[in-house]
Amino acid sequence: MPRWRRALRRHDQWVAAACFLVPAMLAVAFLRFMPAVLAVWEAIHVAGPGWPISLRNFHFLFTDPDFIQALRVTLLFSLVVNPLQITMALGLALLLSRSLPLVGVWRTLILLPVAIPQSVSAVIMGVVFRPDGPANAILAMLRLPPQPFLTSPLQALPVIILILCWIGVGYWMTFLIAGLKEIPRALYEAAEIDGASGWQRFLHITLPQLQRQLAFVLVADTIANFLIFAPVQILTQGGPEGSSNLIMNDIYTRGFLYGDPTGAAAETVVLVSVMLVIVSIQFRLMQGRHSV
Amino acid sequence: MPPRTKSLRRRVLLASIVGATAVGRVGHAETVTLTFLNSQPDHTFDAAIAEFQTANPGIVIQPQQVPYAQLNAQIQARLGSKDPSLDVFAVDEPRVPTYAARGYLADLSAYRDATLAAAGPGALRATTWNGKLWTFPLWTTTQFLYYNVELLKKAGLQPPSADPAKRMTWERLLDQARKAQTAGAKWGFAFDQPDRYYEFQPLYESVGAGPGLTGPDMLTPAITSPAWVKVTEWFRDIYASGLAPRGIPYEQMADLFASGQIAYMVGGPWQAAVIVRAHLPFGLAPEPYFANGKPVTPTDSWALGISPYSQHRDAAVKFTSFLTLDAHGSQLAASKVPQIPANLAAAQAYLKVQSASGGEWTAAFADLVTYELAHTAVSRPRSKGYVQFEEIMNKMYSDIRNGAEVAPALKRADAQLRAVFARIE
Repeated sequence: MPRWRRALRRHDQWVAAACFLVPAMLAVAFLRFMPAVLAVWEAIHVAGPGWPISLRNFHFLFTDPDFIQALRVTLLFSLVVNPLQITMALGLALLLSRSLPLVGVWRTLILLPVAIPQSVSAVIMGVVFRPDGPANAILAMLRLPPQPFLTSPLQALPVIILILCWIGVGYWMTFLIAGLKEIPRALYEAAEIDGASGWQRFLHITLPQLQRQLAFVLVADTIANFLIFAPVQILTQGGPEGSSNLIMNDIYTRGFLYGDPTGAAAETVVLVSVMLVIVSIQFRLMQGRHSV
Repeated sequence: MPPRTKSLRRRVLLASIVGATAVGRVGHAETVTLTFLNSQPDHTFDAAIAEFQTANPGIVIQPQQVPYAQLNAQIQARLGSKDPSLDVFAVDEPRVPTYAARGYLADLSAYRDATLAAAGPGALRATTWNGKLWTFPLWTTTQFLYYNVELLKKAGLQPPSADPAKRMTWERLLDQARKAQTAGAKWGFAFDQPDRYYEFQPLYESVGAGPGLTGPDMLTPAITSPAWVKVTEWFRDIYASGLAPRGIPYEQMADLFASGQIAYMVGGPWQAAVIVRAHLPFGLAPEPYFANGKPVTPTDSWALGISPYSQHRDAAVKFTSFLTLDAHGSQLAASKVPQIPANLAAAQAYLKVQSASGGEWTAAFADLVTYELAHTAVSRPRSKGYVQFEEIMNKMYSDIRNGAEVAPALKRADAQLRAVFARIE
């Protein structure tokens, strides 16, 4: 056996690991890391003579009423949509991890919207919530007045949140059901013998045992919701009056409709920074609870 | 068989194979594929493309259609990243200054005289900016007032005259539209493009309120004057009062008129074909004007531009000039979607065909187009910021149509315009 082969053999494990990892690492480097670096560079680079770096794109953003409104709308949206989706997912997971009749059918039905592309769901829901659509037909059947839904600055964002819950809750529910299945039955039995009520069992057994899955769902859901674009673009284009202009839609408008790529790059940097801050706070909170 | 013959045969065979491969290779290398991005319905340019490809066997045209609302984003994304796979694209003429300033258009100034000769000075102005020619003019446009003969008869209303000297005022038109609605029309009136600045600029120009942009470079918004507020209030009231339909997009408006649900509609000349196809008795009249103002109609339509990053500039010029400067090609390019060719010779033929297409319903077609283009047409403001201006204004009209208050909406759009204009170098 030649020497190089013997040497290779000694490092068999490492070679195998590298073979598996390299494609993923390359993908991360070229598809994630490089665009991020490029976005930062585009945002701070100034062509022409003099110092090549400036914060004037950021200065402009924070004086632009559209950006301020988009930031405000996105934060409000996140504050509502994330707790709402996670609570609904947890509720459904608890319900569907019990031995209900036809439980498989219910789970499939709730998970089904995940299998439909977001853009298709948005088109379908756009029809449902049209002023003359089925949603208003149902209201009329219940003798309630028709609603403007997506054409009203007060209702557009809540309707989009509702649609995103319909799309996303089943997905997050699946992770939580898997977590619930892992909790040892013995813990519940012991608590029952000690006379713990249903609520006490949920609070002191289910929640702490589910913490890892909940942490993942919270972080992943928060990121996914910061990056919502297709439903907004298809349903409202950020309107009426900017009321549903989530930051991803604002970046798109700036970059591709107004033709301001450096402004859009700066806005992307702001979005990623806000996301990093919020996600690290979430991690810290979850870890803090874990150590107690 | 003697061995020599055999080897000779082999050689001949080999040579013919090599030869065929070589010919094939040369043929392959000479075939140029041009991509052509536009927002027209499928098959719009099929006839023109087929004829062009027959005459130019080495060039293949590959049309790429996107919805109108996505065309600007596509152009921005592909030209902004210097994508060499885009060769020819449709450019709305008011957008020429923006795209030229961003370096998205190849300079076509060498064809200036040919363009002037084929399409006249108006078309040349619309495709020129800063003294250079950037696109070839494909179509031009105007607006008509369409009316439903039966709905007017039912309401006991006189049909409006097709004579520009007897043009109706907006005041009188809306009054009659309300009467038609009371008499049974589902909708009294509609603009066919309910969210587009193109359709509303003439309202402001009619009362002398200006196009909404001012200054030496047309980069200063001027949309909050009392006259602008007043005209926009008038626009809002058409929808708020239920005279015009709120939720119907442009793509469905002509069909709604053609199905007999609208008494009067202001719309582009290409809508006549839709209504003729539906066999609905209708008539054409000039676009109304405000009693205290003057008649104004919109103009300028699509042009064809060539990407500076295209690797087939010569073929692209050949193709685009066939669709625009060549009378026959230009006529073919307007055969499916009946828009007015910018090419003067093609326009004459087009006007004859269109006037005859619906019998007495369309008899006034040619005279109206000719009169409006010569006397009342006003171009959109020529500004480096026009693309941003149009995006912001169109969203504003959509908000107002949905019930937003006029003064705050204008103020909001004004602030947005000032912010995006500040970014133009």
